[in-house]
Amino acid sequence: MRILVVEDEIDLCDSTAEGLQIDGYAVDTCYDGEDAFELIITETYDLVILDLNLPGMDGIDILTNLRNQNKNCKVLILSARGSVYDKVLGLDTVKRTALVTKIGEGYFLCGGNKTC
Amino acid sequence: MLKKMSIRMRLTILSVLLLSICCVGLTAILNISANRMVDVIEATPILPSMEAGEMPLTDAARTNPAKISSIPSENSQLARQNFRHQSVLYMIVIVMAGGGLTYVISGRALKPLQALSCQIKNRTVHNLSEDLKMPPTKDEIADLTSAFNEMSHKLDNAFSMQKRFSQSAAHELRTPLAVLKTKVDVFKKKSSHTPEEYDRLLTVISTHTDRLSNLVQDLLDLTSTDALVYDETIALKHLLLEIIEELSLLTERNKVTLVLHGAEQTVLGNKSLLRRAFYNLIENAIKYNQEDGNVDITLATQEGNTVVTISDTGIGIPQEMRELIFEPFFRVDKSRSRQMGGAGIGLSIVKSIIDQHHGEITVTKSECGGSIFKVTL
Repeated sequence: MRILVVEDEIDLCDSTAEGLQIDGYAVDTCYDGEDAFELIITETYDLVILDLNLPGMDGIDILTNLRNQNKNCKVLILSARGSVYDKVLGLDTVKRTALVTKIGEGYFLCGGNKTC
Repeated sequence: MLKKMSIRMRLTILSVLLLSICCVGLTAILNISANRMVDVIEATPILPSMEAGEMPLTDAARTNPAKISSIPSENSQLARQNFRHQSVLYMIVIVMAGGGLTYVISGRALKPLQALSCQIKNRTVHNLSEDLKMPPTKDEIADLTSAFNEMSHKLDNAFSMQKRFSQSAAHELRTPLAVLKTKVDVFKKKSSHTPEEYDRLLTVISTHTDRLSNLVQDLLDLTSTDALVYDETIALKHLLLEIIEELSLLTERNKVTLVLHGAEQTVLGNKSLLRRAFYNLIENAIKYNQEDGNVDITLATQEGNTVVTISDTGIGIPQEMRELIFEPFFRVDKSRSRQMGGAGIGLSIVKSIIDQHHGEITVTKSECGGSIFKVTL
């Protein structure tokens, strides 16, 4: 299963990717919003782990643009912002997003193939 | 008791009272003058009527006309009583009508006030930034509405500032912790590690604990109320040269040219605080600059005050954010990326230090799009 981790905090991005790789997933990393968008459009990922506060294009814009391009993709949002859930719902992309979790809880992903 | 009633009731009662006093007075005066008038009429001598052809009155008859007695007759008494009763009755009717009308009219006049009260009750934290609709009349209600809108905006700004602070602080504090936790959890997933992996782990732990501890220290500095000394004599140009020397590595790395103009100036203050403030400002000017860019620092005097101007050829600050940049944790970069910027505390520390020195700091745009920070001490 192919996963893309998008997070501008480099150490966090790399650690998360490493953890997932240890669990046997194929993981790509990206630190910038615009690059991430390009990658998602051109490649096929089973899951995208997306931070919302990104330089370049921010997470919410990425979600909107993906929807406009009708790109079907499972997305897990990482965010420290409590009010994000409302924003995401408001975008009507909720069908495509899975779960909103807090980054403060650290490494969160259930190992294995339980995707959202 | 009057204080517990609504304005409408109070207005009505007071106007009824006033009306009653006026009407009673008027009615009394009317009655008295009516009585006097009737007395005068009744006292008028009645001359016997003359038929055509009769002899004119004798002198005696002329000088002694039959006088009506001074006590009014029964008819007259009845008539007076009737007049009295009627006037009192009409007075009561008029007072009551007046009171009723006052009640209705005051209700209508106070309706906009009620509407305003209703609108204000519907205000919550979430709609503070919306203005109340101004009434079409230009009266006291309009004044009140306008004052309320102003207050509402001020509150909204204060709330927004708090919200920005707590969101940013949370992000800045949580991120290094998340990195640390993730790194350690991932490390624990593998049972054996190479020395390089240990090294990497230790580097990350070290970097991020430093980051957190610097942030905490900055926050403490910002909010500290320690009594500090502000009467050291400081040679400003000398201080600035020291700072420039400290930042020489960064200046070289960013390929920026730093120039200092102006003569030596002395100020009174706290040397290490001012050093910190100017360090932050000059460091920003270098960091947010372009390659082969310039940073110009000028020392001058203006109206007896010392002015330090730091101008750069950097990325500049958008107009709408110029007030906000001095807020703690505020960053122009919405993503708060650590690649170029810090936690957003630097400028708020600068402002706090300048304020403590009773100085002023302003920021404007330079012609080439960069920023000009002007510090007056």
